[in-house]
Amino acid sequence: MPTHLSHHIVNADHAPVEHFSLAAPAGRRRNLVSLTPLIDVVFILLIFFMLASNFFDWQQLPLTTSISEGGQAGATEGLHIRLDAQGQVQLNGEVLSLRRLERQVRTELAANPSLNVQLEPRPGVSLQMLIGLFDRLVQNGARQLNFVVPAINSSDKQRTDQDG
Amino acid sequence: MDDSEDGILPLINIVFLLLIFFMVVGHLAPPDDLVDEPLQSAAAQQPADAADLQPPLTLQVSHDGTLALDGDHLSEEALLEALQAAFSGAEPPSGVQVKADGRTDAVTAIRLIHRLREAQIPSVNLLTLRADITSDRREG
Repeated sequence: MPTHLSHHIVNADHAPVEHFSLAAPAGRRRNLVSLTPLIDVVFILLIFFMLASNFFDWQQLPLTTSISEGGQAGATEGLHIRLDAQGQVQLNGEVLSLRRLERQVRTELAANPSLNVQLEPRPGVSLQMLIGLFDRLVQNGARQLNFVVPAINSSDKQRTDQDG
Repeated sequence: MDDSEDGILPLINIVFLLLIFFMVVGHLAPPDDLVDEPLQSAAAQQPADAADLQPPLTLQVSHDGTLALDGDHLSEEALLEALQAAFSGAEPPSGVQVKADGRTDAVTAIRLIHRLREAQIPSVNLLTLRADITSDRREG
């Protein structure tokens, strides 16, 4: 059995190896499609996808909003937080530092987790400032957050329209 | 001839890998022409996968209050009309995503979102990027 195997291998070695390895690949290469146009297309595709794709990971923030009519409606129940353009914060009409506001909100919400928190931006506040304060309130346990903005005084607007 | 093709094969491999990477990882979306400074928030959630729903409309709000619905600039009245038309159609979108610039006046933006909700639009969400609140807290 081993002698038979070795004989076989020797036979294979006796085959014209040199001639075979030189001739066959050259014949195959000639039949292959040239790689250059393929590379061109792949490069163009690569550049297209590099330029056209973006890697932003957008997330959703559901908001509840309401319009304050009288101005004093939210003051009695829950927390009414007002943010003005200088970044100053008022809690139920009282000016506070951000740190004290956070502490107070945390203690109030620990006592009553379902407390309604109203967040009112004054004119001139940027949306990023408001969302920044919103993040802090959420981090301090606020769940029932409501954004409040004053109504456009529609009756005044109608009156000026009629006058003009 | 043989040598040059053998030398170029690793390059093609890398280019193919890069191509597949960009195709899989990046997503193709129309560029945001109005939003230069996207909002950042730590409280936002990943959008839920809803394969059976129609994709939501995207409303861009620029820092000066200019509006664009799915890339078309329009006024607020035209926006509300366009939304009414879209949501009363045969296959209404699942909602409206508001992509607002961080410098937008907050009162204007909240009032706009309130008007959308009053117009009975089912799901109005603000789109934000993830923010790191810990570094923010250290400053303040």
